[in-house]
Amino acid sequence: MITLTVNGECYRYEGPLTLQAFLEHWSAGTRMVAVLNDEVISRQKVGDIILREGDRIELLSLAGGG
Amino acid sequence: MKTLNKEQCQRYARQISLPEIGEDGQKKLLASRVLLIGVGGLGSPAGYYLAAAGVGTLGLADGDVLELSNLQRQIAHTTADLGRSKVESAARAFAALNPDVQINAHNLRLTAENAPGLFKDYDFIIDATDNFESKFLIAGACHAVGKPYSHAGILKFIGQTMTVIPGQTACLRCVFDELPPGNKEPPQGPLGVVPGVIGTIQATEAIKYLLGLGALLTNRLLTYDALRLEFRSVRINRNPACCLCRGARPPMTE
Repeated sequence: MITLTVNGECYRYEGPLTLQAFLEHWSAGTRMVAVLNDEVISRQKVGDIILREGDRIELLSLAGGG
Repeated sequence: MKTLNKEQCQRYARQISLPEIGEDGQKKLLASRVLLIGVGGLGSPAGYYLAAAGVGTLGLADGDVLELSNLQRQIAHTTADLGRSKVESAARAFAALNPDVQINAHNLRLTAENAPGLFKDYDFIIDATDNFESKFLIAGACHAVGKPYSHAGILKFIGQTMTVIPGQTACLRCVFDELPPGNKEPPQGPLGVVPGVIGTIQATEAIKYLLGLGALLTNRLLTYDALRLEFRSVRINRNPACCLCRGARPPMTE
């Protein structure tokens, strides 16, 4: 098991887990941007990244209103 | 810089009494120029507070006419202004609050052609627009002319904002690479006070930038969830693959 902090809250996941698998599990649509440990990760790279204990993930989407 | 007259000393007494601002800071504000793009939900509170603080020149750029459904959140306008251009009614509201402020009304829709020329005349840009395309356009034009800006966006009960110093801090396009698909459904929300909260933060950032105060909201996206009443500051590093920053020159050093 690994512990991830997602949008500021802790979750336990069965490892190993790629960022892509995490995003699918989270049902994060293509409008969501993943920020892993303060770095923006492009969609093309999420399959290559294996999440590690203590990783911080932020899921952001652009708000268009004003 | 001119000395403050008696009326200015009284009007701005409370902020002059802050050692971080003082008379010198007030003179700096009076000599400063801020451009608000959009005088709707975000631009109304931002404009009111910047005018109240005595930012010497406020530019207002908006091409819209006031509609009844705007008034639930766009507090610079009144029911009597329906059918008038928003820059006209907002200019009147801000001037009524503080006649000391020079207001430039730009009744236009921002385009890639007119943006750089418009931005050049201002020290700080506030993105108070209501659509993805304008937000991307502002990020690109600010980058091209090297102007700092406050980005913000609103959705339902959520607001987000970040301050960008182009070429030095993470920019909007470092975070959001692609324009989200357009939404064909009728807009839902926002709760009117949500842009009120975020617009006042944008005004705070403009004042801090102009006076060199504190720590700006750079390399961070502040998110606000009104239902949970929660603010979160999400750290974001500059993205080496960013379409705008990739070609950026290194920051100027003294």
